[in-house]
Amino acid sequence: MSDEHSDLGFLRKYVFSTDHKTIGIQYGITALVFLFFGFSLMMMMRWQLAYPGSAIPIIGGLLPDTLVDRGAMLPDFYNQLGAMHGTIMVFMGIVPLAVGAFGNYVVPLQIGAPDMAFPRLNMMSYQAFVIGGIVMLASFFLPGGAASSGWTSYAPLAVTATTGQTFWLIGMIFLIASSLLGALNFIVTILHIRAEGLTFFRLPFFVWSQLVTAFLLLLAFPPLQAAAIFQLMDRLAGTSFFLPSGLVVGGEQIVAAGGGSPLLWQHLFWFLAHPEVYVLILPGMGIIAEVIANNTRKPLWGYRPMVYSLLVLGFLSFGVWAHHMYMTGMGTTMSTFFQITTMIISIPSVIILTCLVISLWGASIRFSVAMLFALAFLPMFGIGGLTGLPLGLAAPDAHLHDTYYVIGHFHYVVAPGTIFAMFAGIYYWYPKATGRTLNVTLGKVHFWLSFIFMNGVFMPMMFEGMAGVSRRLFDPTIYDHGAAVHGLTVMTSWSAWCLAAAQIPFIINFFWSMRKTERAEENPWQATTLEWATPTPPPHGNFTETPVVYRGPYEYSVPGADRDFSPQYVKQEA
Amino acid sequence: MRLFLVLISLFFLAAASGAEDKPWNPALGTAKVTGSVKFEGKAPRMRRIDMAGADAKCAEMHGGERQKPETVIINENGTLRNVFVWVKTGAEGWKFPMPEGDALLDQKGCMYTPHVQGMRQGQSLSVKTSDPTAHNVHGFGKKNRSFNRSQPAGASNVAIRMRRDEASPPMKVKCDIHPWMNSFVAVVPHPYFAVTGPDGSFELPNLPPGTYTIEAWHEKYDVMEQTVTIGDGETQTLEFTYPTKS
Amino acid sequence: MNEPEYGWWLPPNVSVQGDDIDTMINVIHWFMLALFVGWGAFMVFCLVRFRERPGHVAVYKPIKAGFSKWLEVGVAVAEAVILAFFAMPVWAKIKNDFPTQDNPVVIRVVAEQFKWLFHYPGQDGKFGRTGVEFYADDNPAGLDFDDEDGFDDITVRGLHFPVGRPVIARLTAKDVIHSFKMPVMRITQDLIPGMEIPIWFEAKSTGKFQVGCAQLCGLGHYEMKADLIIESPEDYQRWLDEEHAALGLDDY
Repeated sequence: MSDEHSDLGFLRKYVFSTDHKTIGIQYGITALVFLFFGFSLMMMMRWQLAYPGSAIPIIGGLLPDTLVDRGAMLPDFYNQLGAMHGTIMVFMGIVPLAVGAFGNYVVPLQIGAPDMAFPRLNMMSYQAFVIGGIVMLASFFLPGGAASSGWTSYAPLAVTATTGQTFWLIGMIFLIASSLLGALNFIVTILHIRAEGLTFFRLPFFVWSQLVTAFLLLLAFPPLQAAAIFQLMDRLAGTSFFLPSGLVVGGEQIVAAGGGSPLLWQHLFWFLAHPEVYVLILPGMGIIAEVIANNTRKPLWGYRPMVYSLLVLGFLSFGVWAHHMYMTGMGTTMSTFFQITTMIISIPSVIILTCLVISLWGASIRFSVAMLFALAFLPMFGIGGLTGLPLGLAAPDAHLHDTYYVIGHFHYVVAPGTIFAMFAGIYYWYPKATGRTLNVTLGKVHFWLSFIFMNGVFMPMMFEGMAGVSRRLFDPTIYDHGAAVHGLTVMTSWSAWCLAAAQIPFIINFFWSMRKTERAEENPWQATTLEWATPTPPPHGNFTETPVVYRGPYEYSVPGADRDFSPQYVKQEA
Repeated sequence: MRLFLVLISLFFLAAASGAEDKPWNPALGTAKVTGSVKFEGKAPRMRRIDMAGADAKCAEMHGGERQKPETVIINENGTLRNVFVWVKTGAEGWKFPMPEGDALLDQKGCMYTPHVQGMRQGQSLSVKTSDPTAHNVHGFGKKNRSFNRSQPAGASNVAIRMRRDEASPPMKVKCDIHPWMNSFVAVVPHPYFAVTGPDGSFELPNLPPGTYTIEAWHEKYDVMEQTVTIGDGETQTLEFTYPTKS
Repeated sequence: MNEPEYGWWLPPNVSVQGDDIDTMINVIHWFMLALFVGWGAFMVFCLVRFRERPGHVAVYKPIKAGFSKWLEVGVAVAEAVILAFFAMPVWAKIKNDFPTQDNPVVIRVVAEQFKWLFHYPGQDGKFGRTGVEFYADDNPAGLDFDDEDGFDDITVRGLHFPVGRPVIARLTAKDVIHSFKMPVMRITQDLIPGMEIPIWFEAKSTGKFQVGCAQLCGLGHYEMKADLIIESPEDYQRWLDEEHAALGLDDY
């Protein structure tokens, strides 16, 4: 079935491709570029935080004087950077990378499908993502600059903000549309075109994680889509969905019908954004599970409890959103409900993490680069999860709310958490996609430096937060308690810049390894799942013969087998 | 189609008539309007500005003394300060020479100096900071484009070019960091404007003979206007009285 | 008043309710540390003991369930204990137990871009009439200047209150969402435009601190701070008297 596609032109093959692998790679490259861009925004912010009011080296001189004063950052520019860093990292970096890239590339291969169920929809999803991304980036060039009301865009601040916010909303509408199209496609693909014999409990954990993620996207994004359109109407059409009566901005009563509620936006936003946290982390957990099973050379411990936990996690993630809002004046009945659900949702996460750690017992652990990242994921995600505990309870949250503690907490989840998982995935599947393996030495340098500096960035934030330093402050040293921990701020900044430098070996490795003449083996990690049954790299249509599945996903070191792995697609071990 | 042509030609006519402004001939400016703005009645209650609790650096600039808001200042002679008086109609059709340099707005002691000023259309407003604390300059333009620029302590001046006339009401300029700070800038297409000072008087010199509508504007008591006809070499005296009786 | 000492852990606590919060934060962090160290030790042990080496092979099914179940049950029980015996009662007390007697100090807090305004009822103990329509640059509290109750109201930009006496603050915002944060009082409360949210707190020692804004409110957000002065009842009364004198009621 693949022959008819072999003579496609360049455009059809690389730009308007409907092949899930090409789309996956398109998503991956675009998302990595956005991630790097979002990271660069943050590096500029870190300069202002470490050396408030001094000129940014090199870049400062190149920026227009609406953004900087003689090279030193101005507060509105800082707010733009903050808002766009969050938006880019979450909606244009990690989600497209975790779902768009890894999901697209790996899921059809792991379920033995020739492509996604709706290849054109898949292409459209990518295109909507690119348009959304371009709209977001274009907003930097507007007279008032990009959106500056935080990635959360709380009304009424966002409603009264400059035109950048309009672009942000339009960009979000495209990004959300992209995710919705993708999510539908994943659900149908996973439910309908699995290979023969691939029952639900023979699905690799990664596929499970993508299935749950797709449901989260499908159910959580529409409220935000609606909310974004409401906010756009508030800005452009004079409605008052989120504007209460009698707003006085800049000493003047603003002209609006009024009667809306600023809290409505927060509810709609967090109704998406909490499940979104799981969208960010679940695919990462899926990748980690794959890598750990492969490199421990034994089955995952507690595969079924993990799957059940995943489903519970997905379900409960819709019932915890208001724990972001304890400090909005919510009554104790409400906050009690959300404190209880928040404590309950920690339990499936603990189960998954514990299963992964216990999987190490009795193993024969290979310390490949992918495995190093996977192993680092466990304690890092552990810190991220544990620090969620005091934030999930209203009383400690009264002190920690909107401080650097919160920043440290969720960055531990998504940066050394999800992003390490993404790196693990890249090191693990790179041979599948390119037919070459990544250099191990460069990989280990990349890992160790990233590991050290990630902690150097986020651990100090915990202490700053403890000291009560609020987030989103252009210059925290204005406060006495902020000035007292300024040393930690400087440490964070230097770690962040070193972390950027630590990515250089990765970038070199990524491009240099692609040109290696030495080809990787078809199954270089001696893995068991279906993606390794295809030729490398897989052709259009993927499988040369339709695969049939005979066993579970992680049959390593099966007693009596003649080698330490028994692939799903091999009928009988001799 | 014909309607379209008519519209097009009207448009060009309008454009052409706009370009028809004659160069100003200083020899024509022989007439003059002077006068004063009286205040009758009771001054409104206002509270002094407490800067100390919010920004100690502001309060230090005043030696800790609390300042009165500049909204309504009644002079000792019973006149009203900070009233913007300008020729609303009658001075069109001339191309006046532009003054040199920018209109200046200084931020000093977390107050704006001057509180009310006029400037020419096409001129730039240069906002200076003399304070050891950060400000932002937030202009609420109705015809001109709004702007919002931060100015940390010691920052260079921020210059904003005013492309459109905006005199009635003038544009409000505020600092959001110090919400008590406000100032009003009237952008006028000709040089006939004045702001009443400590004696409550104003003077609009060098007018060509003719009939004019003179408008006075005050930030709290709003506008009132009078029509005046002056001949060659004459001086007319006007008197405005606030608050407007209603 | 001595200089407060700020460091790398919790800032000094001068609030009556703050001790419970601090205890909770500390207990939870010990619990977290214990879990993390336990987990970490197990993991490191595995990494060394089960590393790939010649002659070592993985075991297909090395352990039976049981051990991890107890761990998870343990975590769940610990969380339930924290929830039922710390989190809920402490929070309910902070949120709901408004002082009814003890002559509380009542103040009104108005947040605007980008400063705080504190409104005290003055000598008559009555707040003047306020309304959205009265807000102006020279009337940041939105007082109706024709209302006699408001003549002696004190509107200042620094927060003063006495030690050992409960304070009820009614929070409101003019323009966007702000958040009233006093780290030393362990208080964070959002101010939502269009709503008036009451909170209460009581200080147990004096000092000079800062009030900050904890919710992004625009470009001057970082500058939105105010003095927080907790003083003895005598000093507080003296301050009130000075403010009253400074009002200059016959000044106009």
